[in-house]
Amino acid sequence: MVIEQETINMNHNNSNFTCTVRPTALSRWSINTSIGILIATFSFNVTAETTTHYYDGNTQHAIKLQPNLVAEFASNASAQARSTENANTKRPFVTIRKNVPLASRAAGSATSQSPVFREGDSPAGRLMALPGGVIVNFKPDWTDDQIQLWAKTHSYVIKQKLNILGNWYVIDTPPGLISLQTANDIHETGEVLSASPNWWKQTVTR
Amino acid sequence: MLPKSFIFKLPAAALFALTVSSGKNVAASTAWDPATPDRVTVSTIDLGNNRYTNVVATFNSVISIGNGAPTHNYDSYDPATGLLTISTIKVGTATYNDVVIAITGVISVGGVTPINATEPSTEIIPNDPLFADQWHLKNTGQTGIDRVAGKIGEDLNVSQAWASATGKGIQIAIIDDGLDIHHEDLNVVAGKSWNYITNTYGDPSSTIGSHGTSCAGLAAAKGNNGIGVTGVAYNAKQVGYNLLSVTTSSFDADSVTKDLQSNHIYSNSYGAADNNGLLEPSAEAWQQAIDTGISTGRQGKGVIYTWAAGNGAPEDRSDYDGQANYQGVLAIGSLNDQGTKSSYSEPGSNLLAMAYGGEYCSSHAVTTIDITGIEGSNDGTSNPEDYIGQPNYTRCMNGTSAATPEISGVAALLLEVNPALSWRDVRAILAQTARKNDPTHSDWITNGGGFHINHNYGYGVVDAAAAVNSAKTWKNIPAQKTATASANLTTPLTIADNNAATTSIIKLSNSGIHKLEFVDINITSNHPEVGDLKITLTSPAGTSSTLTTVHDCKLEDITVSCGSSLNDGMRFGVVRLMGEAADGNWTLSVRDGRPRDTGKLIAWNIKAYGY
Repeated sequence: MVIEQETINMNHNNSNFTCTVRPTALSRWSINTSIGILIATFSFNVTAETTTHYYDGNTQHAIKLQPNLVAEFASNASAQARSTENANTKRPFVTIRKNVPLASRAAGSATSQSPVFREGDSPAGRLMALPGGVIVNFKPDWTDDQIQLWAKTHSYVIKQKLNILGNWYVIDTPPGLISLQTANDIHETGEVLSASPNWWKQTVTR
Repeated sequence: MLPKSFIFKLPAAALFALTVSSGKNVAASTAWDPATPDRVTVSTIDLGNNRYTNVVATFNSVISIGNGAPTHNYDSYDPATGLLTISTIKVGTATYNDVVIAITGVISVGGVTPINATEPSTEIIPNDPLFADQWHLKNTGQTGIDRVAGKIGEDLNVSQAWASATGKGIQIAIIDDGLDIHHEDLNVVAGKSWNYITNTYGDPSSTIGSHGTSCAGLAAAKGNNGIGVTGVAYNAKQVGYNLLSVTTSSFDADSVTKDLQSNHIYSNSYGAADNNGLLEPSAEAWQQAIDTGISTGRQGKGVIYTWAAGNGAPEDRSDYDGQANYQGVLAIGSLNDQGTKSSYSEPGSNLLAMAYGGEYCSSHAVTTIDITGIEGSNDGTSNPEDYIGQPNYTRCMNGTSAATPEISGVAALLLEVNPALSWRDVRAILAQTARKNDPTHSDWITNGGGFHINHNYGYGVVDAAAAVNSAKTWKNIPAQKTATASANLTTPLTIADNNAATTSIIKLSNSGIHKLEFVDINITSNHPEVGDLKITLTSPAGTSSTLTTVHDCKLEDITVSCGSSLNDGMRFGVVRLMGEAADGNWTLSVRDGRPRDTGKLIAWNIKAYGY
């Protein structure tokens, strides 16, 4: 991770952003992206230290938006994508920039940026960002065919089955808030055991 | 490697608590040289069940000299008085018998053999040139940059284990910032490392540092090959996964389950940021991945996950780390070359055992490999504290990061000598054979299972030779049972502000667990400042385990609120209750140690693991 301090004061006049999560059956990020439908169940102001949440298992975790930080991902797709360009240029996967507005304010836009959150409500909370993707734990009696059908029904694209016990899959989404929205949306339907964003989390060597 | 000017002062009573070099040495005659009047070279000394050879010791006075023929054909040492009785000593052309001197320290010891043993010592000294600097493998009193000598014998005692195992047939996955798969002193499995930048098999060379490569060297750098350094399991093979290049939740889970069919050990020297005092829960997908590895890896015997306990002392405790405190991992702390806690090494009730990460390069860190060439931490020219002209190696690796792959290496030795060991067997062996380092430390207690434990040291420092010997004849522990119970809090319990502790009791019955291995504790509280709380769990046997202490949280060295981290619930893990019975009253104590913020204990439960 690289943290840079920008010296240019950025204009935040247009940074207010509201996005929504539709009921699961309709919450296709591609649709939200293209037409920016706002159905007010999820409201977000990226200029304030807004507290929101995500789910991990059955636990709801509080997170706090860091309005002065933006995460830029080296790949222009999700973390699941294969980016030889990145591999060749040896760019860091994520760069946290200070005082830079999100390049795109539209939910679900094909951007390599994400807002940055801190875990919990401490000012020192672990930095987290959204490189794209949702990790879904399906009920154990669901077959792979059922899961594929569920994904197709909801216009989700399954990128990967995790090599762990249970029915854990990664669903593709673009980077950014849409990943969080989609995860919360899926989780709150109760159709699955859990759904969490595929977080990038600040991690250090010891 | 001891400099000629070096004189090491050691309490006489501890003189022969030593690990020494090859027992095949031919003993020289006992002699005193006027050119070095403060020291004497002693041919053989019998102490306890061992015979030490070629001991060079310092002394400050001659107590007596016998008049007649020597009464023994060997020399003897009395730890109680610090007196050494030499049967015969040559001084120039003269010979004296039954000379008694008061010794003050030891400079070196040539070898040791068990008395009455039918076989010579099995110690192996690798021919790798930098082995002499690897005090964590064999501490002969080497000095660091600070010129302070290490404590002789404060090491992994692995040279005595190498005759039994060197890691052959064992594969270790280094999950880190990368791995120099072409390094001259690494034995890397071709084509089986993973590059998370491309998310494919490939070259996981680091884009951000040499950390993973140095960890790999500590675990399993090639040994006895005449170059570089020696790894603990120097014939083990390795693969590298550069997870830290792309630390996403899905890759977190993926990395610890990748190639479960071929990896035996996953070495993990990373985690949430240290030094901030925050509680950091682990993700459920990652937990499930660990559960997958310990239940399906190695054909059901489970792979071994070693995990760095953390470098955030004093603010941080390893207890706060939801990965290091998880049941399926072995949390490893760090000692310095004196055998005491490295200044940064975090305490914790989850801490299993210790290895050696040293302090800092400016004092005494550990020697291992570095990225080939001028990249990495040592470019071979610019850092006078590091090896000049040897950019492929470094003496500046440290941290619980360094200690952890050392234990990965020890685990490889255990699995080689006894492939039937389960991951739980490995954990039990490491705990049971650990040596009680820093024995006068005030936190040492004996738990209800008869184990010595310490929040700073876990069960003590890993003794590789003892662990390997134990593994040879180890009988697998029975299948694991679990038992859960929750506190019956019909109304949340008020935590009195800056006052006496609130306590709550859970009674666990009929668990069938007579020997605990691990305990999870889930705690939910709406207290707005977790930094105000000291939380302690007391087992039915009366063993107290600290989970949190009153502490500050830090953001870039500025004190900030730790927040209400227990509001969402937090799982803690306790490994220091091995051998105790699970049934009985478990007492949770929550004390608010600072004024102003108030809150309540809303819920808590335990999950006991054992057999």
